[in-house]
Amino acid sequence: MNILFPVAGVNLNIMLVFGLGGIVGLLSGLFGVGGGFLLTPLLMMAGVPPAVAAASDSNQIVAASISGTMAHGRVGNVDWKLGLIMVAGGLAGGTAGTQLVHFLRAQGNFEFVLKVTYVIMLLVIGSSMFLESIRTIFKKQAAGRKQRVKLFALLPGKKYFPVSGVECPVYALFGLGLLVGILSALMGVGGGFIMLPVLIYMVGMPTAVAVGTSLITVLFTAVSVTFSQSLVNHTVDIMLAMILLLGSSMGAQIGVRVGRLLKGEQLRVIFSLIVLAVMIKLMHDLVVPGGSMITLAGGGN
Amino acid sequence: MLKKIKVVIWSCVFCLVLQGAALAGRQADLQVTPDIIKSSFGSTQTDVKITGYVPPGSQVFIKLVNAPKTVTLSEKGKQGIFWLNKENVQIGGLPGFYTVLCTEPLGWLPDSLRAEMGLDKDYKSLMQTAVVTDAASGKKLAGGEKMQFVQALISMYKQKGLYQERIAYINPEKDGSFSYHFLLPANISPGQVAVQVYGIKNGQIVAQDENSMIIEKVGLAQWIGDMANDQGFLYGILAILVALAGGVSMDILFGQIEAGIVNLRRKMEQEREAANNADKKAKRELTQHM
Repeated sequence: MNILFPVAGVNLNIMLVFGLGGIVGLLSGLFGVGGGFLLTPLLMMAGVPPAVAAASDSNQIVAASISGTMAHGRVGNVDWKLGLIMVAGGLAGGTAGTQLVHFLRAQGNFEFVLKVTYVIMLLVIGSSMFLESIRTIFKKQAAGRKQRVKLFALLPGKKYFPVSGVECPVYALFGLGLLVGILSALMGVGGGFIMLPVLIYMVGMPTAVAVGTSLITVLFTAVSVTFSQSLVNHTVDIMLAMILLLGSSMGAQIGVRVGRLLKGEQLRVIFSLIVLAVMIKLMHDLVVPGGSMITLAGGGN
Repeated sequence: MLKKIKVVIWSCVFCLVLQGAALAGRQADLQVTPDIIKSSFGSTQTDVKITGYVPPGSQVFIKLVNAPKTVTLSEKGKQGIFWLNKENVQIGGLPGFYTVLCTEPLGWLPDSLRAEMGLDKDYKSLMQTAVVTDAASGKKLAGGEKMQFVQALISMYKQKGLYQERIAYINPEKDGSFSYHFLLPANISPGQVAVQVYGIKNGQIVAQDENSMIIEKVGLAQWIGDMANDQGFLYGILAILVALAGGVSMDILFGQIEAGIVNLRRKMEQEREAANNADKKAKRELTQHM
């Protein structure tokens, strides 16, 4: 059944949208990643205007992250003091990022910048995941993993955060939140894939607290980006976001159960190859001219 | 005698002129059903019935067109190895929907008649009326530069099914009445769609009429579309609240399903344990009895 998505302005098969959400949810459940970084490119490939794909993905992330945030909040896995500094950065970054999207759409280069950013990000994520999985398979990961540099602790102007038991400068945390906010507005991602490695390896937070605190930042940043995108760019499609949520929730439930039955390292190799394949497709679009050099301005809608 | 012959000849000529005029001006009695199309969430193509009358033996040409709208296009150019935006242009004067349904190809019509009916092969007259302006300088583009943008937009519309020129099996009855069902695409912008019908016979327009239908977006689709564009502040709050409610609902739903599965497993284990115990008890009793 085809339906007209009112903000995206495209007629899409409801099962296709549901299926895309389901696939991303399945991968998310299988590999324990957010999956937002795959959803925006897949929506673009399905014909959703890039600006609407990114903004609606942010709206979907609000829904997807709320239950995890509540669960971690209940068991005390959140360092509120540290998290609120990152949230402040995320709000500032989200607002700045939305203005950046507005500017790039007016220039007509939003799609280009979005694809370039995605190519870089997917290359980093895909290749690091691939290498880590290969190392794990050959049991050589132990030495590399145990070395936590705690880079943030080397910076001047440190502040002690008792819940996490770490020392870290406020400006560095704000900067991290700012980066996540900009990427969230630009790409429609949650940003957990950046925050988690930084909080665990560079700040030195315990993993459970890092996950809970990162989820708080993801939630508030996604809320801020959804609001700003609605206000400035009018690109949030609630219908699209909710159908994606339905698909991704079901996919994630299946993914978690299937993931328990399979070997993680081999699956991570497959997942990293999927990420790299999406990256190659986007890179191909950037350097090889498509059908027409003339397109609708502003990333569609 | 000569005077009488002259009167008869002039009378015949007058009658022929009158008949011709009556024939040419005859109304095709065009009816379009429904005249108001309400497009809602989940709306797909709408079946539109077009009925009318043409003199027997005529060919039928139906044109459906909506009001022109302004569209902004970007042109990419190569910079280094990448394809970047080179310029933005605005195209006005081109309808967002233009469809011609005909019993004969447009090439069958004489050029003069095609021009009179506003029907040109490959949308040539539309291309001429379109106005292309450079978005940065406000300069109007002309010639090949203009045409490349207009052609690109028309080809996008064709891909979306909004621009069509096609042979339709209209088949008028012996008395000239016809009835044709047309599937109107769901992605037409709201507003009025003008419907014109022409009956063509012996290279002349022998019947013509015009009617219209209104496309309205209603229900959830209309409400969401309008709110997203006109009330960004409220829409943003709504989007957040809907997402939060959706997320919590999904959490509760899957929590219930999970709890249900756990209970079912527990119940099955208890039943299995009870069956085992009963079996053991029966064996024990049997051993004691022996």
